[in-house]
Amino acid sequence: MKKYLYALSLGIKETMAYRADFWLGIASAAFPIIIQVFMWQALYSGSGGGALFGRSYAQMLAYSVSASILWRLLKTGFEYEINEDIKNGGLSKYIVRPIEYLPYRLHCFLGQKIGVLFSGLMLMTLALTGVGLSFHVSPVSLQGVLLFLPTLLGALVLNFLIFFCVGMWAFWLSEIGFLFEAVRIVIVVLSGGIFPLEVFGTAVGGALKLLPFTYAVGFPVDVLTGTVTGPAVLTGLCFQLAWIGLMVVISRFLWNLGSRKYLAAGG
Amino acid sequence: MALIEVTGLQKTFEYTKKEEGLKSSFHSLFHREKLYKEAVKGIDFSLEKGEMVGFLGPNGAGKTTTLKMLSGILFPTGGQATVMGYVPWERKKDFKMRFAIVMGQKSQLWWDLPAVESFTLNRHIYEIDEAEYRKTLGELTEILNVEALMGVQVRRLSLGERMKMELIASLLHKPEVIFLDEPTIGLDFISQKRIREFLREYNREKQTTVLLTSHSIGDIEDLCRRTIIIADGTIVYDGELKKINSLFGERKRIQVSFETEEAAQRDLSRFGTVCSREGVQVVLEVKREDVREISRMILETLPATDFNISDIPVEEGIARLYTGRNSQ
Repeated sequence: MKKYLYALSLGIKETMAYRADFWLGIASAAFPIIIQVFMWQALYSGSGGGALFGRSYAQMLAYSVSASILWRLLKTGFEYEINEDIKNGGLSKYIVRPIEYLPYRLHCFLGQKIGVLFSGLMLMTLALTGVGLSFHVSPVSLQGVLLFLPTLLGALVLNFLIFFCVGMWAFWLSEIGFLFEAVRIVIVVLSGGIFPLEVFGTAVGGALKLLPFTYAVGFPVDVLTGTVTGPAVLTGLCFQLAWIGLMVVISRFLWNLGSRKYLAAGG
Repeated sequence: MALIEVTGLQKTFEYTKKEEGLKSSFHSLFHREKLYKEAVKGIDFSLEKGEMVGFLGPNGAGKTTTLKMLSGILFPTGGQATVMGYVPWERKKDFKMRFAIVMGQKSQLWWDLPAVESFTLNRHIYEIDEAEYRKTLGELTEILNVEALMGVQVRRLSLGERMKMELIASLLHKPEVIFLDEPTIGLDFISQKRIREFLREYNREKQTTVLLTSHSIGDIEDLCRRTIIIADGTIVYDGELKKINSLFGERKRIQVSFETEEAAQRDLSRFGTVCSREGVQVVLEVKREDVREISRMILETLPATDFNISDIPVEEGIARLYTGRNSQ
């Protein structure tokens, strides 16, 4: 549909205008990464250089760095706009027009991400090369990179849907701004955006892999860094797709329910 | 069947009571008292194709709520409405392609983009053919005289300029029904006049059906033959604006000026109801059939220097309807 492609191009234009914002976001990743490097160093030296949580020190660093960058790369912000639209009546202009809100927002989001994806991936390549050179290993295989790309697309869409659903809460709750940050912190942990889910132990980690969040960050990073390979990639992709499907259903349900409650304030 | 049919339309808003103070804020975390406001209390009216009808009412009377229900933004609590045969709140795509709503107080343009980007987005949203779009846009920008402002970011436009852009954005797809919610609010006299002229011409030429709310009686007098007045969620008048005063009986005003203020102070109640007394001037309200007789009596018995008979102003009739004083 042409109208949604136009929304995509609007998203790209917008990112071009707010580039500095993105780079500041990426730069802010540096500090937590440094902390993690020291933390893992301490933990691994304690283990006598052996593998922890099924990963070598180099693999763990490759994971942490990639996950940090990916999380910031996929970071949403449109939930604040949704909240704004719902609270101040800006939603009306979408409701009265022959355009659907979810696909419109999705395309704007994808457009914004296309604008930064290339630079983000370049940065990730650089960081992984750094890890590779320091440990004389290659943290990434060509197969991993090729399989990573579809999981990345899935992660983008899934991340969008998760935060779209969170944004829908604005139909019911009146002061929600702080909630978005709280939810984001929980989700970054549950998605493996800080450390791999294995850290929680087999039982909890395994249970968390049934939730959608890991398919938004942890899973693509695992595929990229080669922790998940072979048939497990396919299983993961199926989970990712299934969660996307389910989240679409949930989003639509919340939208239908919420937009009936919409008050169209102002004017 | 009429183009717009409204029967028994109702909207009740639910809200929670919030009292001042920290203690009650804390209290409201656990217990919230629900209150209900009946914004629209079961209204009926219909519009024929090509009609341009004024929708008047005091603040909070339910005008905007009604327009929002008719454009599918709000779900009603009860009653029915159809617009061009569609139930608005079913939000069917075909319906959305054929109507528009313009809100004076709520921009539908994208604030960070120049107006022309919003128009292009609308072109895609409404699936308007490129050539057709160029033609319509050319016409509209020329009539409204905004060609030079197309590339300016919407947030930098003046209120009047923005309003013109809002109109263009909502007319690009040639809607058959237009809801205008206070399109001239906050505009200066000249801009108001231009927008009015534009709307009149547009309605005449395209035979669009228009329902227009405004607080400016001028807008309505100028544009609409028929006016619906809503007060406190109920329709209190539906007819010609000029005839509004017939609701209050056929009455006339007699304005008399005296030579001195003392003369103006005398008891005049035997002639009619005294409406106002200012300096040497007194305004009386009398029954239409008595005008001739009372005028003669006043002129014969009182030291009047000036004398004038007029109709009760429309605004006063409306004001009486707003406050619910239907009869004298």
